[in-house]
Amino acid sequence: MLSVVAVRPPSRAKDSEVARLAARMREREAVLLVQGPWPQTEAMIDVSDPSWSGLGEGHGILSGRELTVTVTSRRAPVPRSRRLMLPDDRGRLGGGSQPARTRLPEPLPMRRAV
Amino acid sequence: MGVVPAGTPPRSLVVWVPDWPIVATTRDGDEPLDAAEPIAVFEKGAVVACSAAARAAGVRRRMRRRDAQARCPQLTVVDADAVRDHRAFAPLIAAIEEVAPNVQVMQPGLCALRARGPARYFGGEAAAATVLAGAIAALGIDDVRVGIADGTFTAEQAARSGTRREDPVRIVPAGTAADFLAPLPVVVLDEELASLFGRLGVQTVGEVAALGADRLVERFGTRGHWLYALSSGRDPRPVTARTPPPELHREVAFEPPVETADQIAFALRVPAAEFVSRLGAQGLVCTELRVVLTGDRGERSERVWLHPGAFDAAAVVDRVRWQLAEQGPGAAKSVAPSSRLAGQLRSAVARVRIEPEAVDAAAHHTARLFGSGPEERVHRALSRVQAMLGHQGVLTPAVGGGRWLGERQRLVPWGDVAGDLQAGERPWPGSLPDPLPSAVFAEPVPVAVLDDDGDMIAVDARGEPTAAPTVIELGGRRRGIRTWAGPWPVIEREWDPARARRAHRFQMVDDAQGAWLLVCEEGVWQIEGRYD
Repeated sequence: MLSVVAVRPPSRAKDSEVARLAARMREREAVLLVQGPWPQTEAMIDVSDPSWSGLGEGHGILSGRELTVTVTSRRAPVPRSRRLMLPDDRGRLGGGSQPARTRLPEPLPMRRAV
Repeated sequence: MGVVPAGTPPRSLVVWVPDWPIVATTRDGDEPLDAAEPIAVFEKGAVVACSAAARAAGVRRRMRRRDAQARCPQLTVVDADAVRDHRAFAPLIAAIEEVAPNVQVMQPGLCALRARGPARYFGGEAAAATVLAGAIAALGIDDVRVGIADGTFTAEQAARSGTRREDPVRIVPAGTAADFLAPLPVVVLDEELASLFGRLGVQTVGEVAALGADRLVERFGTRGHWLYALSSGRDPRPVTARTPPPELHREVAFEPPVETADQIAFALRVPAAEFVSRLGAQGLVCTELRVVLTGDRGERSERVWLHPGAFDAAAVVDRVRWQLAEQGPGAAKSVAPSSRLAGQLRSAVARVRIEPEAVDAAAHHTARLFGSGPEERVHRALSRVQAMLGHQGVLTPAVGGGRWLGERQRLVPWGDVAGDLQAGERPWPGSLPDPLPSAVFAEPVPVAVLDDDGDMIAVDARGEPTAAPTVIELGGRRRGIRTWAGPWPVIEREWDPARARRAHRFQMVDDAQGAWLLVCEEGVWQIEGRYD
């Protein structure tokens, strides 16, 4: 069992608060997830270049999004990037730009009733 | 015969309220029925009790529902509920116990006492009967009958058959029980055997007694002993008094009434600790707490509070404090509609009552020997933060039911139960399929969706957009639309004008690859959610 605490600070946290929180996290063996800037992080995850698929000109439905996930961590200071499906067409995290993925044919626009 | 005691049984006093299931329906619940209306209580499709108005219309006991409704079309049909009957009867027992102790509840509406004590205390059996009838009548019940005789069976029959509304007390003198019972029909003895006795030519209780113990035993076995004892006025059953249930609630009255929550909370500390320890003495803990605040002018605020675990004294005081915080002017708006709050206080608090709404065995709530892991820790941390910030300060997400995302996303105060847990799992045809937007706006954000000419897009009566959307204008910023889909109609509750909605959904992806879920309702565009 792993305790996770997710935080979104409205403004920059004070250094003393950061230190207190870090000590408490170490004591409880928990993970802190922060959205926004935070000093002395173990790792940072950044997403960019989203691209949605599934929609057309008046037809289709949003089915998945491909985006670039960049990870910078203390152990591996060189940023690593990869294209991932988040979410994929089943609403989960999918692997990168996989050529072998079987894709449904693009939906065709429905003919309008006259 | 060995089973039948030779001597006469002790004098018994029976208090009977006629048609108790009907009286219970007129005294129980938030909206009690009117006693003057025709009401009938049904069990297994047959009438078990009916009100005077229904009886005047021809409704009788053991009548089938459709026959009863045919005779009295305006009949109010109520299902039998033994719990309701007992609940409504409890205050009557309490009133009787105020006057005379050791009451045996035979069934709701019927209870027995030993007559000797009250008769000596009040100076005669007639005086005791009058006092008891008066105690019940003081609770607003206008028809109550009392019978006093040798043994509970004879006393019950004296109350049931020997009294009238104008003459509510019947005393059968000692030693004359058999004479009193003799003319009664045999059905009072045993409903099941009544028809058999009828076929045997035995019509009255006196004729049953005249058969003699030996012949009854010969025909009916041990049941014969019993029938002989009852019919000859020698009911062997003693009155077995109930043990009054312990009083678990606590009430604190303030004289003069106090305004500040701190004072009230301080005064409640000791009673709250007593409340918890009194429950603990019974091996119970409180899991649902009812707090009733009574104002100086008699107005009440009542609410049931839940606890994720069990209430301790500090948690009880916290709940009272939160309920007081909800009383201020304008505070009613901030209260979630799901909370079970009734009434508003407009003056200083005169009385606080805390009572357990639901209890559980304490054994289910003790700390485990080796700790119960992170759940316990989360529970403690959140409860502590909630004690500091107030009831609405700690919220947990829950999935509600509905076609709109705003209805599905619900935040429930920590410890409360999300109203309808199954509602979120029902199919809800017309709701949005996965993937769902990650940001849902509780308050819909107004937006403009324009076509090439800069005209607002609308959805026509045939469910088609008037033109292809090309631009979203949100807060003064224009975004070009790259791809879009829709309209998907959401038409719900057309039968209810107050809640009916007729709207169309669109999904759009803008130039910066931001995906939006938009709703067009009667020509007005709003953002329902954002995919990010």
